[in-house]
Amino acid sequence: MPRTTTIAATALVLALTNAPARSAETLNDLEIAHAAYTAGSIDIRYAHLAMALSQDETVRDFAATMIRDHAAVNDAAGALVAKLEVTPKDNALSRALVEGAAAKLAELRALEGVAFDCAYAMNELGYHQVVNQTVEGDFIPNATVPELKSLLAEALVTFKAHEEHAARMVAALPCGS
Amino acid sequence: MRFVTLRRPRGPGGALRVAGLVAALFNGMGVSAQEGPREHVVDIRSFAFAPATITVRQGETIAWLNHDIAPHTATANGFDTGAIARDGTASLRFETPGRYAYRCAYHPRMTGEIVVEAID
Repeated sequence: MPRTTTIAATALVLALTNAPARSAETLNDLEIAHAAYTAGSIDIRYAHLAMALSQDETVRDFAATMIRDHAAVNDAAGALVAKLEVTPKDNALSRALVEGAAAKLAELRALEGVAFDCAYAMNELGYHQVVNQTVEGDFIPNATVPELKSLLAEALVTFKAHEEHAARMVAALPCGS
Repeated sequence: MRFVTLRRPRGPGGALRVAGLVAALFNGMGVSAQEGPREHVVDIRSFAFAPATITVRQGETIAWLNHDIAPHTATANGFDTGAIARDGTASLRFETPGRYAYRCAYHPRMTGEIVVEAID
């Protein structure tokens, strides 16, 4: 994974975290892989919280799907990393995602009932919207390793299905406008 | 609806993987597992069943082949393939004529239909 590319990560970081505005990040293939894996792992953590706190069948079904699907994508990423004998590289975007997720998880843990369900559902919709924009607009165009580019493209199909699913979940909940 | 479950998930290279024959689950419905004479294939790709509607003859088998990273199912009232992992397959043989709408239990927007024609 040789070439270094410039990734406009500012929008992703601002949308997903409480971190201050950042300048464009410079991510190479190993950093793209790390950030993508981190984003999936974060959504699994949100889903586990939803499974613990929500009694709503629609929310719980969605959360179970997030755990199942993101685990499958991350397993595929792990298999690719092992095949290529490389190690994904931690980077500022990954760290900002983790910090932002910690804040969001703390916010969600303080909620219950419909308030939790709506906050979780709307976060899932926003999260997938922004992640999908970043994967499609930045990660895939800038990845240089064909196998990584292909995996990101396949993952994007899954993530877009999640975005649609999240939109239906939000619409099905009594969250108001 | 009478059908036979022939669950034969296979991985790349033809290696048998997660061979979970679940026909036993349906023994109470008078169903037993055995190979069918003909197998149709429904590809699962990009969160869609292709073809979305498939027509088979009574006693024939449908195999669902999942090309997606995410696991999927083919599920209806009365049958369920269970989870089909990437590059895995699951097969069902349909014994009763009729039209059967089904979906993926994990991704509800994925829907399909099976038409089982009677043998004259």
